[in-house]
Amino acid sequence: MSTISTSLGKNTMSTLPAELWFSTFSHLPDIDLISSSGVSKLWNIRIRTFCTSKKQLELRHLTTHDGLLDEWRLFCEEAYLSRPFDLSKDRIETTGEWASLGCDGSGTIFRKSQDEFHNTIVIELLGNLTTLKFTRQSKWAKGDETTIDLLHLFTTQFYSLRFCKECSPCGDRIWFSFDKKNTLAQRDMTVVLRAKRARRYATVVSKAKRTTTTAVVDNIEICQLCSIGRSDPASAGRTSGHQLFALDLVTREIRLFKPQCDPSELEPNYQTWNWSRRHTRMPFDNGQYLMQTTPSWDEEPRITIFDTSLEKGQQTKLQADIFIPDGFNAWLDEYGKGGDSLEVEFVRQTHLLSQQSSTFTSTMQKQQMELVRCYFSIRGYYGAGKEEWYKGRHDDKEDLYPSIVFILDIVLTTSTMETPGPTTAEFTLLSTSMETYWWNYQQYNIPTATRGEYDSFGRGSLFPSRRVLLYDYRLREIDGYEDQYEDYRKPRYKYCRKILQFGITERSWDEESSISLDDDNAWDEESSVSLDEYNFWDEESNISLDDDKVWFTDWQPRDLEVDRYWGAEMDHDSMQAFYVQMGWGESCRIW
Amino acid sequence: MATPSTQATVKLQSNDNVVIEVERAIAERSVLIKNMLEDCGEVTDAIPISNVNESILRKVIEWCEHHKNDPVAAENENDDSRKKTTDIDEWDQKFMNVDQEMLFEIILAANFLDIKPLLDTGCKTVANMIKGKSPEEIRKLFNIQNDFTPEEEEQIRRENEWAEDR
Repeated sequence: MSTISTSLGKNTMSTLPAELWFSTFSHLPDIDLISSSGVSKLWNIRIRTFCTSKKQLELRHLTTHDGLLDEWRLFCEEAYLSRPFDLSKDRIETTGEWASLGCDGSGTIFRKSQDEFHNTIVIELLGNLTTLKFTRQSKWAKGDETTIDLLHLFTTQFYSLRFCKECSPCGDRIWFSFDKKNTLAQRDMTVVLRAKRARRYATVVSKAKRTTTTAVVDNIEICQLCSIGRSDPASAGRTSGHQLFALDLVTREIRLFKPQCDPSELEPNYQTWNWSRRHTRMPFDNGQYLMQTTPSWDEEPRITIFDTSLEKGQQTKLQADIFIPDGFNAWLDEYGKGGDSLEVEFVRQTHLLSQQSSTFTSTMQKQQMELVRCYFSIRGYYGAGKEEWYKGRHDDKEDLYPSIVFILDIVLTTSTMETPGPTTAEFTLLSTSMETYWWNYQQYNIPTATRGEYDSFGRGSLFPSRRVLLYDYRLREIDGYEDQYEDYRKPRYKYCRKILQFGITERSWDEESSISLDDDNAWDEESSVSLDEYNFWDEESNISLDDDKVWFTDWQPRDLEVDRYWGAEMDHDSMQAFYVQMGWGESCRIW
Repeated sequence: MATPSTQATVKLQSNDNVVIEVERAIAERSVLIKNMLEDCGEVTDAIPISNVNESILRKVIEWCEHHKNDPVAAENENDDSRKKTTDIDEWDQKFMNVDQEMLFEIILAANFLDIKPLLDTGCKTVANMIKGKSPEEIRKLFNIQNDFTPEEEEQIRRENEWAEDR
């Protein structure tokens, strides 16, 4: 429409103050924002700032009542914060049609303000626009069932699948679509459709590249789109274009993760797929993550710290470190019964020195420092898919988890320039005391699942920052009814703050019961900084990066997931395929 | 606050010292001037508009004259649909059909004088200029130098890869 002449040698846009840039951006669709971010560094910074500071929009379409998910939500909400949360307020009954979920532009956009730090299971990265719209492609086959609501979104693990045998294998069809032409929906998504009343879950994974992803799911009568998940770099291939969405359960914000490549590109022996990913990272409050990487099945896990809030180009300033406890195998022989894979399970973290108490500002930069003590345990792990997961720990006579909790103290230093510019963070691993805790569930009357009562059971735990959440699920086969299951995989979430409140029984450190550090990491009183000195920590005393400790930006932690996953199949060779498994042994190829 | 005045006109003085007399109702499209008049009551001296030169001031006044009967927009208008639409009234389109320098000066003046609808129109105009353009086209449009290194550019391209080829 405009015939405005081109600027002659004058960059007039740059004369505008930031708020007018933002005002302009507010009139741009996401796709143009993305495109504009490649104009120049200034534009890139402005657009990123704009995107991250946008207010979180309200979730407009929520579900009708669902006890199971409500339970889960309540569980999470309680676990995260004592933030008031009115379920009935948020739940809006809609009897609208599928189209009302967003083809009119009212798609759900969740964002989180940048300054809102709280414990979350989701990694904080520089924001990006994530607009998810769901468009109706087809009518319901069954006309009288028109209630479709968008349930709360939460992340799910790749392959997450719940299914219910009693559902009829032939039912209505559902079309749903991620309109990728008009949105920024990621090409690889995990979607959980839940059948109302029937508790049927199916996972649909799209591998289509930049195409409108439309899936037809059979056998679901009324579905609620209850989860938009993520792509899994391990299974999604090696391209860098893969992106990850995750939802913050507190803010209900979907965040777009940075593109990442397969970690195996960086480390050939990296264990690309681990069923127990959810235990392998621990988020700090302001974006840094502690994460386990397992080089290979038979190698010991390593713990790496990195900062997800930084730009890729800034990552080299990070200090990542690796902690390899010595003698794990011996330990596992005794405790873990494992061997296929080792697993680090982060238990909790405490701030020995809070961020606030250590903030200081110079003329150019603000520096925050915090001292975090992380607790983690390490355990053996049986191969994925095997029935005897956590063998030994399900035994009545044993604790569910290994009883040794290791401690790791970390200094996190974050420097923020006053003017728009990079934020850097550095980490120092302090001496790690190997004090041993007993993590005794029975002592605190945490119920255990016993094999005699149920055919299958499991117990999971989630470890968002400073919280421990336990849940268990059980499967019982009803006598005489083959394949009829009662209470199938209904997770019984237990919020186990009590454990922390009770405290874990501390056992004084002694050499025999603890594992010694290897020489490189050996605790050295002289080289460690005492607590009193943390406030005087200066850059020079920081440990410099070694080549082998260089931060790999593409090591991204995985989001926590709720479910175990059973039986879903993915055709890795055919990246165009969708599979949805609807029951034991049944799978339908969708695309 | 002073007693409301019945003053019919006010004088505005641009930063190049040109005094322009306008109807008070027109001048009050500017929230800044409106508040000033409400606070000061009768103002006989010219109100200095220090950030705006004569040509831009006249242009802004022209806009205010045309829109003097427009309903005042709600204070906290936060409608998403408003944000996303870039439709511009035909008269405004012609009004904004100026060279870039003037366009941005109008935007700055509207910002300074707190004339939200004009600011909105200006921003929409710029947004329309950006819309649908590639980074290179935007650079050309605004005469911006590409200061990304090839690596950075590649990185951004890869990050945005999926959004391309639409």
